[in-house]
Amino acid sequence: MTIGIVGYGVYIPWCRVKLSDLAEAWGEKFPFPVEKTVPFWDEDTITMAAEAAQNAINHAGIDETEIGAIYFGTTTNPFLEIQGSSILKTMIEVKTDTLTVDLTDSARSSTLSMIACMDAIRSGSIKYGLVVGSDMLVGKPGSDLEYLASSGACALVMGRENLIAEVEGVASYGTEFSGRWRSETQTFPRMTMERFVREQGYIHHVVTAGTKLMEKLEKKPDDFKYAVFSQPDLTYPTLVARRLGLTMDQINPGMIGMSVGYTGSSSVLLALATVLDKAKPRERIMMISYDNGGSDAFSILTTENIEAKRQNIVEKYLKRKTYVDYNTYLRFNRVFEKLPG
Amino acid sequence: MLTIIPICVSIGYSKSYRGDCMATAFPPYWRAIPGMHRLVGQKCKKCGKVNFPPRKNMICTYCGATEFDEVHISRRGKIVTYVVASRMPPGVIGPEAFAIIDTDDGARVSAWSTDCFPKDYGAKEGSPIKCDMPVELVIRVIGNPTPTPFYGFKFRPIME
Repeated sequence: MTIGIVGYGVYIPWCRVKLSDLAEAWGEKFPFPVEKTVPFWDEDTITMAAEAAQNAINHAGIDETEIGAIYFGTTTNPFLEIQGSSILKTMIEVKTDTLTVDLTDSARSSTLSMIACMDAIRSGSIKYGLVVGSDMLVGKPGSDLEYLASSGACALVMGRENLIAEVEGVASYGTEFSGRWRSETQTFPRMTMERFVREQGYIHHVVTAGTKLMEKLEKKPDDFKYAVFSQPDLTYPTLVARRLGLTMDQINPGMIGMSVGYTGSSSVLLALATVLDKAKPRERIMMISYDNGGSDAFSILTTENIEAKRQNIVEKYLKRKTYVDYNTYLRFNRVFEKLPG
Repeated sequence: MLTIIPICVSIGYSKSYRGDCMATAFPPYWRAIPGMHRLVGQKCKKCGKVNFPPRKNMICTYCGATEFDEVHISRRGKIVTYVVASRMPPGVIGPEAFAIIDTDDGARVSAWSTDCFPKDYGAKEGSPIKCDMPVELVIRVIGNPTPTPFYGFKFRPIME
């Protein structure tokens, strides 16, 4: 029996900062029209996840009490010793016996959540599962990672009935690779040489996972109408596409990184949501996540229900925006705190 | 006859940022979770009006009856009146508006603002707050400087 996506919801914060403003503060130039999201000062990973999850449940049109498990994928859980998904559970009113699972420490945790959720549905232990990817990344001021690190959340309701898109197959690939890391004592993430991360990290893993997926399902690059990737850098998907035999027409619709930046674990799910907003029935989407030496590739086929359930939710959130300056960006992200007195 | 208990004010701001109160600040928050996380109110069985936040003494503010149904109040409403606070406690980035809101189903809620700049501070485009402005209630962190989780509802201008 097929398993897939019943509904999806996103949350994109209201404030944006233009990367040209950010570069100007450091005496640099950034001539491209790229912007990223800035969370309002009172937001955190869980509040963003709550709104995305509520949107997903509304879109799916199911009763909250039918959700059997919540899988919460994040790298920036506000608490080291409180489960984010258990707080999320009280906010979206699922039953008290709902399983709550946090998958953390990797931007790939959202797609790992999807795999875990699909396995639970396949085994018959739950009817519907909620997968949430939510992240609030902050780069060290002045560093390269500051440019795209941003915030956003995306949630998927997965199940067997009333699917808007079915998951045809999954392929995973992983090696040990530490390109970007943050220890418990570090506030900001660090990265090794960009070129090494790009070639040996992103491109190698994403291309291998994508090739494995196509071999497994016996599909060619032309069989996919869209392809979406994690976007830690806006040039990476282009480089990968060329090696996978995909064209720019296939990857351009999912490049939401131009408007929101790199949102960590929700990056690939937001790209998927953007494409699902536009997709017509019976169109195949390739989705590949990446973080630190691991990639999960999915082949997703939309169904006839997608037209009836169309909400254009990503567009609604992208339209609702205001620009803030770099100082406000630093204050809202709590890079600098005002002292009392 | 109105009684407004600014629950988020008493819990989120005044107690939470005093470090020593941590041990005692959590239990009242825990009791208020249905109201603060899920907007659960009490609908009076006699007069039909909604009491929000839920009354601990189980007496209806409007008619004095003592029997209630649990209801979820609507997340959409209109501002009745508001005030803009400029001097905020540590950890809270202001100015912020505090408003009394009538929700679409007739409940009366008090909440702080979010996703808007009541006064222009760093934003290139402001979004002023007015009476009768349609707003929606969204879940946010209301006691940010605390080490314990304090989530509750704040209002924001409605999304088109």
